[in-house]
Amino acid sequence: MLDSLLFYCFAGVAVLGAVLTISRRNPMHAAFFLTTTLLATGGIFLELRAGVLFRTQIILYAGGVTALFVSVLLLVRSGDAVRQVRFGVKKQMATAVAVALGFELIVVLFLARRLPGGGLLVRGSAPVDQLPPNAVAMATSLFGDYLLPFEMTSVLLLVAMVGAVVMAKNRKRHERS
Amino acid sequence: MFRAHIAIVIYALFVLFFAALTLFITKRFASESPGDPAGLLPEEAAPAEGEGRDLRSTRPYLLVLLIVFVGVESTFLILWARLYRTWFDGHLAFAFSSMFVFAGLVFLGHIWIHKKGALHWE
Repeated sequence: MLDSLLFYCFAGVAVLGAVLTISRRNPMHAAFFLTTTLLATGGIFLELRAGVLFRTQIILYAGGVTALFVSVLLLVRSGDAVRQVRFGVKKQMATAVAVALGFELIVVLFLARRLPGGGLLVRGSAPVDQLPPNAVAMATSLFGDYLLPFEMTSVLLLVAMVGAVVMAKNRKRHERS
Repeated sequence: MFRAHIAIVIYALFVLFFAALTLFITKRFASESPGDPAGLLPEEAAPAEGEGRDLRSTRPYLLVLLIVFVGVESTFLILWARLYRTWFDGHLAFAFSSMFVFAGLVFLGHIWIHKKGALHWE
C-alpha cells in the first residue's frame, strides 16, 4: 500500500515536472522543472532499492547536469534564443513526431503482452525490500565483462575535459577580438 | 513496515516541497514569457537593438562541467569500492590496476586543466 502510494507520488511529480519542462517558454523555469522531474525519478530508484542509480541520479543529473544547464542558460541570452527558435512554424513536424511516438508506444504495449510476465505490469513479483542489493552485481559486471569499455571511459572523459577547455578558450579569444 | 520506508517517505516529502517551491518561485518571481523584457531577471534580459552587452565569462560553465566529470568519476569509484573487499583474496593487483588506470588518465586531465589556468577564478 505504502509502496504504491510512494510510487504514484513520485511518478505524478515526475510527469507533471516533465510536462511543465516542455511547456514553459522561459528556459530557466524549464530547468527548475527538469530538476523536479529528475529528483522524482530518483525517488523511484530509491523505492526500488537501486542505490547506485539513485546516487547517480542525484549527484550527476539533479546536481551536475542541472547546474550545467543553468550555467549555460546564464551564458547565452535567453531572449535571443527564443527569438531565433519559433516553434509555431514547426507545428506540423511536431505533430508528425508525436504521431510516430504514439504509434511506437502502441506497438510496444501490444508486443509486451507476449512477454512471459504477461505484459509490462508483472503481477506477483517479489517485494522490492526482498530483492538482493544490485550494487555488487553491477560492479562485478563492470569490472569483469565490461572492463575495457570502463577503461575507455577514462579516455572519453579526458577528451571531453580537454575539449571543454579548448572551446572555452577559443570563445574567450573570440570575445576579446 | 513504515520504519523500512521512513527514508523514502522523507525523500518524498523533500521532492514534494521542492516541486511546490519551484511552482511558487516560477509564478511569483519571474516572467513566463521571455519576450517580455520587463518581467525578466537582469541576466535573462536581451539587450536592446544596437546596444552591446558584455559577454559573460565562460569560467562558471567550465567549473560546472568539471563538477559533472568529478560526479562521473565518483560514481565509478563508489562501484569499485563496493567490490574492493572481495578482491583481497588474490586479485589485489588487478583491483588496484583497474582503477588506477582509470583514475590516472582522468587525473592527467585535471593536471592539464590546472596548468591551463581554467580553474583560476578571476
